[in-house]
Amino acid sequence: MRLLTHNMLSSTIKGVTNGFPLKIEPQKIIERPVEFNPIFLKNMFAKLEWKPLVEASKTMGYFELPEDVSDLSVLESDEFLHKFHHALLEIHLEEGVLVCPETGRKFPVQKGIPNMMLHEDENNLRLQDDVHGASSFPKALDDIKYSKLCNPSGTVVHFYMSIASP
Amino acid sequence: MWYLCVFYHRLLDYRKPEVESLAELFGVFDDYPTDQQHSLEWKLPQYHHPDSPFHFVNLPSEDIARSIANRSILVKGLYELWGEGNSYEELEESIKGYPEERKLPYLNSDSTFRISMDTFGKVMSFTEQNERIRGLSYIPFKGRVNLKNPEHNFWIMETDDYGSNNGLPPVVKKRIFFGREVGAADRKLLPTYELKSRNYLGPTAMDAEVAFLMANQAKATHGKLVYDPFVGTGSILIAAAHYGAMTMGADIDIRVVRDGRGPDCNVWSNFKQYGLPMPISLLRADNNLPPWRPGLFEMFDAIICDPPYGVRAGGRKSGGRKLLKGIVGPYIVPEEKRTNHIPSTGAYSLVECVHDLLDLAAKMLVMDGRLVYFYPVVREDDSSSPSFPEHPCFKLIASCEQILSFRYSRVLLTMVKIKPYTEDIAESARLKHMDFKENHLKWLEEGNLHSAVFSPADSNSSAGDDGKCGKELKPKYRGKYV
Repeated sequence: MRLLTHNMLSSTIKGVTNGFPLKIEPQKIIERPVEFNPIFLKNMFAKLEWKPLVEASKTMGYFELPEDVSDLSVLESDEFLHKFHHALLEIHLEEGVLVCPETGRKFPVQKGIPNMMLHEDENNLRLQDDVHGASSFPKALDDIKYSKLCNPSGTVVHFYMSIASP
Repeated sequence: MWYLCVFYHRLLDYRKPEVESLAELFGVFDDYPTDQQHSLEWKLPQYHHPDSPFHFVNLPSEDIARSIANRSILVKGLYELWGEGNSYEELEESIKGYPEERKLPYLNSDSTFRISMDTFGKVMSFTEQNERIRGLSYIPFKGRVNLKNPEHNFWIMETDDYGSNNGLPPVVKKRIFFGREVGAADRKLLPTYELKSRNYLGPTAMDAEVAFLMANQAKATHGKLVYDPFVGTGSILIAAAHYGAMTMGADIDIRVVRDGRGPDCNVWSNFKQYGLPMPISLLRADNNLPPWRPGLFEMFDAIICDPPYGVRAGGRKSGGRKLLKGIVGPYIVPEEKRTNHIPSTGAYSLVECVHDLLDLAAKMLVMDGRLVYFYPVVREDDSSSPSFPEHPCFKLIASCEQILSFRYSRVLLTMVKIKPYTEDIAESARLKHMDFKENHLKWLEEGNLHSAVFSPADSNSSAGDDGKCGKELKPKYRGKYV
């Protein structure tokens, strides 16, 4: 698992309001060179949460990333981009765990593959468990526009609801 | 400028959308307003059926035409047409009438050239081919012949009034084309990537040709991030990676993504086998409960996948059979067994799977990003066009059918994200998600394709018309089967 992936994942256990960032407990870290692609890096930079990336790279033993990137001119610096590239794509967590910041639940990473599946008692399997659901149902049918979702035999089996914007 | 576009005679529905997607990838529509339908101008040669391999397409430059042809899988070649006719006399007249300034640069004495002959719907002996090539002596070729590596490739292409033995309605008159090749598809790619030489395969690994077509529909290219939520053995992502895209995949079955069949036979080794960069990440996750952090939007440039439709492989989602039916509550997993516990999964209906896929794509694709996926269609006797899933964030731009059996076919859908994901859409998707959970069984039955494909034929439906099976009345048009 690379740090780009880490920056995208969160714990989705029922009741957890902020499952991001997952804390990394590394057991085996490896580095593999990856072709440098500045366009891809700049593209990703806009979508990442920077602080968690810096923290994660420290846990993985890489301390070169700057804390403060509010000045976007760093993206013009080749030196910065190479460091960013290294942290984001070249450091791999081969074995270890990702820990949910709220519950402490450990998601194993084995052979580089994070296992994000929840156990039966951790996910929102049943409707009754959902406390926020009922209140936000749209009141009037007029508020609802339909678009269709149909089954493969071509008959429309159900309508996909979308609430009309005011 | 108009070019003659000759296709391989296969996967007919896929041919034009591939060229259009590549045209967009190579910037043909860059100056067009974004809210308009982007499409190329096409024309058919006189008397030709739309399924004919010969088409004319209008492209802005020869460089773009070359780029499109070289990357495509189904374009046999794009040609600058020098002449055409219903007979060799008409062809000669037509070539002589083509402007000299377009011809002379390719005929000069320090160039090398080759003339080849191609036919559609007939076989021609070597002598006959040679005769026809020699018949072109009225064109003032000054360069040297080089059969192995010429600078300019010229082609004579002949169709015949072949009757109906090649699956197409007969062409009224034979047509002959002569043109200069601008670019041609690199089909060598296909033997390199063919499944039979691939190390790690699953039961539903995507055929290399179709995987490349999907990557082209998704406009996969250098610097783009492509995601497959049903990655399996990675057969679709391999095609995207071949075109330089960064790849990411998830699967609910941990044995498939993590273990494979050993250290040298897994998803990673498949990428290594072709010298492709490894996927950015592979993870084990449930498409029904994606593990993305709340603030993550517009991450992927394209999502390409072959969702499990429950015919050859059924989808799975979190929750056991009894759990989803609501007979039992969630079990408490004992503390000492948590580490290696394998959570139970239940059947995942196609309708729910597609709902989740559309919601994921609406949220995680960049604007203008593409969702490319296969959708199964039960083939009915009447040829009414099937309806496909719709979503407020997406516009369907191509649907390409591939017939799989008498009962069903699969359609490659290409959807473009045209509207941003809003809170309203997220909320309605969440409500629908709850409905799927609550009415698990109902959805499973309504969306069941397996029975439609495998159940015995319904004898009542055809008994009505004097023992004649209704299906035999269908014209024997084989166009879509090629």
